[in-house]
Amino acid sequence: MTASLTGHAVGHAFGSVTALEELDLSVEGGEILAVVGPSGCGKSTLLELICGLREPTRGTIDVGGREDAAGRLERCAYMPQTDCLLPWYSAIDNAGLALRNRGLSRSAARERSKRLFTQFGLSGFEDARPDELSGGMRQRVAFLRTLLSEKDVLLLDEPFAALDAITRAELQEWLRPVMAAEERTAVLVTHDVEEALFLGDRVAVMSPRPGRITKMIESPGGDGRSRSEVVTAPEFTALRQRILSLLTAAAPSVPARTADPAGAKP
Amino acid sequence: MRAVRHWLPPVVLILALLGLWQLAASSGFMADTLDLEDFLVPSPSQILDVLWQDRDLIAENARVTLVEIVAGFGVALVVGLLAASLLHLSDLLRRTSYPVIVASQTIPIIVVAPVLVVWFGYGIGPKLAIIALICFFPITVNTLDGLRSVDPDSVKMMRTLYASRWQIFKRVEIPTALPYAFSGAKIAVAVSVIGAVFGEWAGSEKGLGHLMLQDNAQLMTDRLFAAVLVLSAIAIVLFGLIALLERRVLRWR
Repeated sequence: MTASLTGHAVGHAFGSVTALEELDLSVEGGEILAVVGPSGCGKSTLLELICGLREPTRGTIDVGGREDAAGRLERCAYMPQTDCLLPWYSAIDNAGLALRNRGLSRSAARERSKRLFTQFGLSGFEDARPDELSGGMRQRVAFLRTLLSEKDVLLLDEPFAALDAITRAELQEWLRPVMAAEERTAVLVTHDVEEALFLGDRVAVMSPRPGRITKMIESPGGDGRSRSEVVTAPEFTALRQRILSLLTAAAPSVPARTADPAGAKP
Repeated sequence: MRAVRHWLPPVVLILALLGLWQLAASSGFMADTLDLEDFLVPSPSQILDVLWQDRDLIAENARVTLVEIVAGFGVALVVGLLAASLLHLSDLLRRTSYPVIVASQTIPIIVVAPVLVVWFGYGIGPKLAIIALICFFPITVNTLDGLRSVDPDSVKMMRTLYASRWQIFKRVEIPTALPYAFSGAKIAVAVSVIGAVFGEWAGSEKGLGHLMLQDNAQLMTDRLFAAVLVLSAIAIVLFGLIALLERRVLRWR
């Protein structure tokens, strides 16, 4: 049984700026929750609070039965917006960082990472330097690194935001079965409404700052269909339209975003 | 071919300048213009001549100076890297001692050098102290800047991947700081020769700085220039060695 995750009346302030306020959150074990919201609504802060890199100024967060920051940190792996691959390590050594940090030797860590490298279509690039990899490959290595932490909860902060539209779609299609097989709890923060609906079991819609979750929407589910089939289904497009109107209603200052069918991009 | 194209312009410039100098000195033009005796304005060929004639004397003194430079630089490197690490790891230490470190660089070395000789005698001690005092500053400041330029997201990522403080230091912060440390070391080694000369001027029995003082007193201008030439060569070679090491260590750049 993987860890579940709850937040109760979570609030966080940076000095006089309130980033999050009265945020309630509940993610079941094994569930993928996608979080969408306007820029600056505190999505990234929420992830840092969940994984114990920060303590909320108000409220409590429980990850798998632990409410203290150290306990939450033990259970969560965080994938930042930028891939953060360390240029002085090869691709496979980057992927195995968590294993090295837990005391495995370099060769043992490589041995463990090797199988997933092949499975992720990265075989042959084990010893490549990060700057020799394409954007999509870098992101897969970064995800692999998160996965190899073997933690119950994965926190993904806009993992594909830096990629071009085609690579992003490919990686979304690739990530879905991977996550389904992994049975881990995940929180995926994204700007991209389509990505949220496609990858998340549920989508949490956040309000502008101070951020709180204003709406929870069930994803339509994929049932093994391809991405293009899923995202063009009438049910899916209707939900996407609904989320987009929720976001624009909350943030009337950016009306141009309504016309963007792919969702707001940074 | 690329090497030739790369090195040709500076070599041509240096040869042209030397040629001009040679002409101006050997024709007597420089001495006449400055209203000086000919031997006070040596030409490049005369300098090379005396460099060859007095090669044993110059080499002996150069060896002494080289030992001072390498030892002083070595002390500065160890102290500088250690200081930068400690200052990085402790906010309190950084806030308290950074002003002291900056203040140490405002000490006029020329004035302090004789005092150090009075305290520590004519041996290698004062030279080592002076060279180290000059060299440790660029190493410390550059390395500290490097350690502080670490990407905060990488640190967060490492923290959620079980990394201890030491592992973050070893796997993220040190590699980030290395290019900065190398820059600091290159600056330090270039100024280290000046420190060695100051140290020897304040009081010594051997060394290129000591030789320069003697040559100056005896109006042996040609040998004075020869000593300067050797000193520059030492600095250039040491600089080159560090640059070479940098290329080998920073493979990922």
